[in-house]
Amino acid sequence: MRDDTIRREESKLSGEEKKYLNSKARVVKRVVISIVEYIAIFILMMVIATYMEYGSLDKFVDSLGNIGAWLSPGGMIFNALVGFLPIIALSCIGVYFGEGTVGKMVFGIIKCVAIIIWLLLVFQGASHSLALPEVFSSMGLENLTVGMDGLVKFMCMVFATCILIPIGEFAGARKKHKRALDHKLRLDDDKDF
Amino acid sequence: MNAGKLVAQIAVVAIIVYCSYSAVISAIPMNNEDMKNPITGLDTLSIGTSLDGANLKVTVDGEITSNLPQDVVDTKFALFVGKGASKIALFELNLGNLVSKQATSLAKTISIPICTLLAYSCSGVDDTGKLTIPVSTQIAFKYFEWQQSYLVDLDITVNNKQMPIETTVGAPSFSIDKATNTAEMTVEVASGGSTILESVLDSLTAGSYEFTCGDATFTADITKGSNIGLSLTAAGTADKTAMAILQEFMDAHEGKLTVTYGGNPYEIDSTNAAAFVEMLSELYKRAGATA
Repeated sequence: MRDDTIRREESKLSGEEKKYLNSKARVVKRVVISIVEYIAIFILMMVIATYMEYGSLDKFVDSLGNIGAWLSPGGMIFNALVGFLPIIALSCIGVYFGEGTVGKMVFGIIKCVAIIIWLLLVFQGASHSLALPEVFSSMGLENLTVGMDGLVKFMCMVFATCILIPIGEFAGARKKHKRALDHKLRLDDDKDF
Repeated sequence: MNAGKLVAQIAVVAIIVYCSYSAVISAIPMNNEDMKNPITGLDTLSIGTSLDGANLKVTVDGEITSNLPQDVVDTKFALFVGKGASKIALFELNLGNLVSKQATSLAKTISIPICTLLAYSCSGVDDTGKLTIPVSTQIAFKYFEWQQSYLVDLDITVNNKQMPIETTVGAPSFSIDKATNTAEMTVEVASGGSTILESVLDSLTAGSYEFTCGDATFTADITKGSNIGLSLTAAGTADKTAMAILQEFMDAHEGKLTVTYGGNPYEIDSTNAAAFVEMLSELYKRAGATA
């Protein structure tokens, strides 16, 4: 009985070990999840945009007619989602690499840098400030401008320090990756014979 | 369990907590009294009004003290009559930096054209005859320094305040003469009131105040008895309203308006001129003009 278990473990990679190895299947799974997330975010943004435009959700269906304007370059959804697309693409490619590989570490660092660049570009375009939508004027708030310079700088600092995480993960999982890789190579060799 | 990742995560959290903490500790008063009263002296400011030709001079004097540990940067405080695009500044204080733990003296005089201010009294009449005029407040400042940037950088304009004015004879009366495009409003206001418009009316002596620009005239007749009687008249020509004439003048002069008062010309800047025209059209509308 005990021999059986050991043999099965030896002849097959465990789920734990797969985590440390490169995998194309994981990328496919992640791409599917990303598309679902993307659609969910899209609908959520439509709801928020409708609310900002009309102050209620009654006209949600009508406002779907405006999708064209929002999706065109410079439109709200275009800026937010398409601007974020490179980061989603990067993270999808990033999951190909198993924990403890140099590739995973590099992609983790690139992800943080990409978010920093995205923050800087988006808020440069919005002239460093967020202005208030019309709906608040009924509350007597005529104008509210929030300068984003300091906040963007702070967020950039947060993501810059987050670069430490993939580096730490690489240092911690390096040996486990080697062990899993050795195991896989051994199994591949066995199959060849 | 990945020990390396855990160590890195702890380090990241520690760095972020340290940065936030050091920013907070240098910007938030640690003493309860200062925390409750970050800025003192606002209630001791003296606001005076006096007449200067066709303008009303509003003088603000006094000093305020910031009890905050950091300087409040680019501070601006403004009070407007009206709201939206048709508001006129009663006073705008660009305070600059409120230096920490130090008194900042405020001394500011601004001039508002009387005709614009008076024209506002027709805007806020409700069905019960009460005059209420919307007042907007704007506050702008930067605070909470972190690495030469400011985490709090706000510019807020609020217009939920109303300035109520007691009228003693109920609803104001309006009349219009369509042949000469003349609109008129008459109202009686209790004297000795505390709002800005009431004190303006108190400081004006009885008589007729006439402002002209081309063929357009705006007249305020003030009578003083136990109450202040105010009668506003805007007159155009047979084929043009007063606003149309003023608008033509403004279009030709980069939005600025020059009115003649007591034989002397007075220039009104574009913001106040736009507000004036807006208020005149309100007067025409309330008097019953159709277009």
